Amino acid sequence: MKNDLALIGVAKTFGPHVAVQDVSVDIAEGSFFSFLGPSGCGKTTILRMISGFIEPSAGSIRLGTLDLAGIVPNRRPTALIFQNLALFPLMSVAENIGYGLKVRGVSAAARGRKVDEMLDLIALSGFAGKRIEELSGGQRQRIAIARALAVEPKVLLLDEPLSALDLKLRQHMRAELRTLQRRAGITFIYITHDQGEALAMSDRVAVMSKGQIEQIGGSSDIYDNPGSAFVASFVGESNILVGRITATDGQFAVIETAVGDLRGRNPKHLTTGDAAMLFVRPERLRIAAAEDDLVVNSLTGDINEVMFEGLTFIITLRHVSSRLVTLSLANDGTGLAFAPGSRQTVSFSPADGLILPAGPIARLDVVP
Amino acid sequence: MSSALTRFGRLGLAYIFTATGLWLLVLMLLPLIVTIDYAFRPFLPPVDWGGPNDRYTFDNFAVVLLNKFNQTIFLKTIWASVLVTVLSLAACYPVAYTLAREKRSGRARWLAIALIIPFLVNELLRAFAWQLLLSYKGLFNQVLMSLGFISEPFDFINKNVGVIVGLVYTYLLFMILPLYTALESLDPNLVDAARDLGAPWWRIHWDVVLPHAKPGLANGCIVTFMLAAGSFAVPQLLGGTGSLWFTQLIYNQFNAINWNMGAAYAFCLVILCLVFIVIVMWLLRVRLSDIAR
Ligand SMILES: Nc1ncnc2c1ncn2[C@@H]1O[C@H](COP(=O)(O)OP(=O)(O)OP(=O)(O)O)[C@@H](O)[C@H]1O
Ligand SMILES: [Mg+2]
Repeated sequence: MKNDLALIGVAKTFGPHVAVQDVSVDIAEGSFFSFLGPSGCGKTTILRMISGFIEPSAGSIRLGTLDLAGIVPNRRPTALIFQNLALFPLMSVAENIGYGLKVRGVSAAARGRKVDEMLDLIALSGFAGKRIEELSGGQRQRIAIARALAVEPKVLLLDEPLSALDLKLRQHMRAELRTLQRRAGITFIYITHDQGEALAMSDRVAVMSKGQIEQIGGSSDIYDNPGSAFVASFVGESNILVGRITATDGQFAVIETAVGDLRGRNPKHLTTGDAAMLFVRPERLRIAAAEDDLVVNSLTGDINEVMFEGLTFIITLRHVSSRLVTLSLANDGTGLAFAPGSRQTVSFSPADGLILPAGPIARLDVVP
Repeated sequence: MSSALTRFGRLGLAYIFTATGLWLLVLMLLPLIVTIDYAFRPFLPPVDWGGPNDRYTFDNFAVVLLNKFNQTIFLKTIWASVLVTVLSLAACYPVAYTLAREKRSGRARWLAIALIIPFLVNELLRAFAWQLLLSYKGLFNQVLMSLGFISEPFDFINKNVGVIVGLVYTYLLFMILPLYTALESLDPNLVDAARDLGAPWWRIHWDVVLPHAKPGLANGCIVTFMLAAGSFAVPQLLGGTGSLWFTQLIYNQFNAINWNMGAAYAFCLVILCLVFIVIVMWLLRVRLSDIAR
């Protein structure tokens, strides 16, 4: 489409420090796209390059057929929502929202209409005359979005805008942002280190590590089919078992780990002898019933700890080899059938175990 | 108040209040009262003190304000001080802004040092230096003449240029520091946000930066104006004979032992400064509490 945003081989170095490296991505017009990555991986740098505050050291950024190189921020068809919102404290809500139009020379009457329309959109009609300091965190959030949308940008850029809010409001704003994006019909590019946020809102997600894109895909794709050890460990929870491939057959392979030989999917076609990691999501592990005929992927140990989280029970099992394994069980209202300390066997289907090449991971609690 | 009590203790607080009170009383209030008292009495030989002629009168002020020569100098002092303030603001704002925005970089630190070092030198010496530069056969005239801009030396000293340049330079820091303090507290994201919304640089300053810096701006303008209008050494050294300053009139009266007349002159200067403060605060719509922040 004509307002697709494309980053082509974009890089940014600060002196000797490489902040962003060879980032190429196509972002479809009207989609909700997220850059997800740990702190310091270059997300803000990418956003500031798209908005024009810094020029890439290499590569180009295009909006449709328009090359954005050399276009200063005040002339770019992008609008940025700052991490701290950066609402003008000395202006009223209406003046904030209308500011972009005012500097474009739009008449006061037309501006007023647009401000009302924007306040309607964010469900804050009647707030026009309020001062910024009178608003709650969530309201300020919405004003910032309204201020950016008022100039009718082609692309809205959001830099971790929810990080300052408390959990409840954050979850509420996720849904709200998604709704606002649908209504506005423009591209939202969202930056976050919170994988829950990225997965919940986005059409597509780019997972970043150390200035590079590790994987781009839809939310469920990223979650269920991570392409690297980093993505598998950074997105969602996983039990990570390090080992070596001992056998392969078709889509599957067997990996020898400290807790025994385990079978899982082998999408990267690793071969016998390769260093590998097995990733199993806690919710894919289940407690085996006595009558189950367990041939593969069973781990026996003592229940170490049970944490109740409302939706789920988070259970850690100390395997006989003394490794800890985490599983989560849905809270179906019947409670747990076993007590902490009891000996249990857990297992998972080979389709739920994912074997990937050993590589850097995003967490420290690995089973060696 | 209670936190101040726990912090300084009863004795400490008592000291602070007494010291401030004494400061105000001895160094500000008493001299002012004495000056006013003198200003409204006629100049008399000691034998007539307390006599029938020693009564309150406006005569001194009539001389100060109605004399043509005095009027010229009084007005000159006002417009020249306003000009000094405006020039100083124009010169200092970009510097203070750069300093505030780049406060983390090494460049800003060098700039700050470069600004402060000249002020370690005595004010009089600096004025002398300017005198050398601006004098009839001084460096500026020589350079300008050798470049062909002027055919004969320009009389900087007697044409008020010397005083104005000298005053701007002398009180530079009093403008930069309050501006810097105000600008430093501005969230740089606000500037970027305005830019992102399409504002050209001058609009960003007008809509976002200046309103934020207003208290510091008022502070700097008021202090610079008062220092300029009340300056004595700089006009004395850089003003020449053709461009007297109001303070020099005051000095002349005290020098001629007519303290009463001198007090009347001084009182007019005080009133002038107060009026200026009120006008600036009204123009910028700031309150005293904003400035004291
Ligand atoms: N102006 C700059 N000069 C030098 N280094 C910089 C500059 N801006 C960013 N960096 C460096 O580039 C890297 C990426 O920074 P960036 O702000 O893009 O990270 P981020 O992913 O947004 O992190 P966070 O989640 O903490 O905001 C960091 O290591 C940072 O120190
Ligand atoms: Mg960031």
